[in-house]
Amino acid sequence: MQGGGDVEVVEIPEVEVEDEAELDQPWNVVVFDDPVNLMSYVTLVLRRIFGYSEERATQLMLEVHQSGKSVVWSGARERAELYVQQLHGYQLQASMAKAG
Amino acid sequence: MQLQATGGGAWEMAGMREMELHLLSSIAPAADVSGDDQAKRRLFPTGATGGEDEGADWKEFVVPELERAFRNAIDVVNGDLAAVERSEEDGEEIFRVAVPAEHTEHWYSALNQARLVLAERYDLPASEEEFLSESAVFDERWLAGAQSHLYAVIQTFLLETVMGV
Repeated sequence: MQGGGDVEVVEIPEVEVEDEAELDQPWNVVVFDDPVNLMSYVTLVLRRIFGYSEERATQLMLEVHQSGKSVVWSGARERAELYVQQLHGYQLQASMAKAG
Repeated sequence: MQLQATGGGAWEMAGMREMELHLLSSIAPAADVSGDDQAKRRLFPTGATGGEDEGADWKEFVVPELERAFRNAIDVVNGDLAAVERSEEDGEEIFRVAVPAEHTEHWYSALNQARLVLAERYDLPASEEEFLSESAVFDERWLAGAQSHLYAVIQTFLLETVMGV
């Protein structure tokens, strides 16, 4: 290092910051199969909440029924929370998880 | 019991015998999750984002709202049941319950709450065939299954005939 004299070294603490990529990471809304909710009701709820077509909602409902769960929507966290709350209001089993 | 649409989105349950009315009056107790943590977790699950704080927030802000909405649905159903009409047919008392269009969603919700709790409480399977093959006739679990089946029949009627799905 060039220069002379005493130099005071100040340690800068590391601050954990969620990087932008993590903040932008989408969240999945997942609906789970259960033995109670009728298939046509699940389709109706998916149409009402997400505005899906009959065909799309039926496809997702069948995936829930056959695979035990389905990612029915992905996107911003706050919106995902709202959707999960609405799904619970219709008594569907649903949760959210980070995509990827 | 005859389930029929009566116009303008209204519907009725007519020609009911005492047992059927009793089963309808059992919606509220069946949907009651007091003292049943497993059933409570099913009706009011967490948002499941992982963190404890998030779970606490969900319980504080979301669950009370759901509890209010679900309770309201039960109250509406009980109100309709309280207005039951009684008559006599061939010396037997029969009952009719009329439901206005604006109560339909409440009925669906209340019936669903009851079925969800019964399924948790008695570990009821999804299919009727499976249930009939594994359950002893007239034990408590069988009766819960029969009760849940009646509620599912009404829900199917509501979806197909009243809600137009």
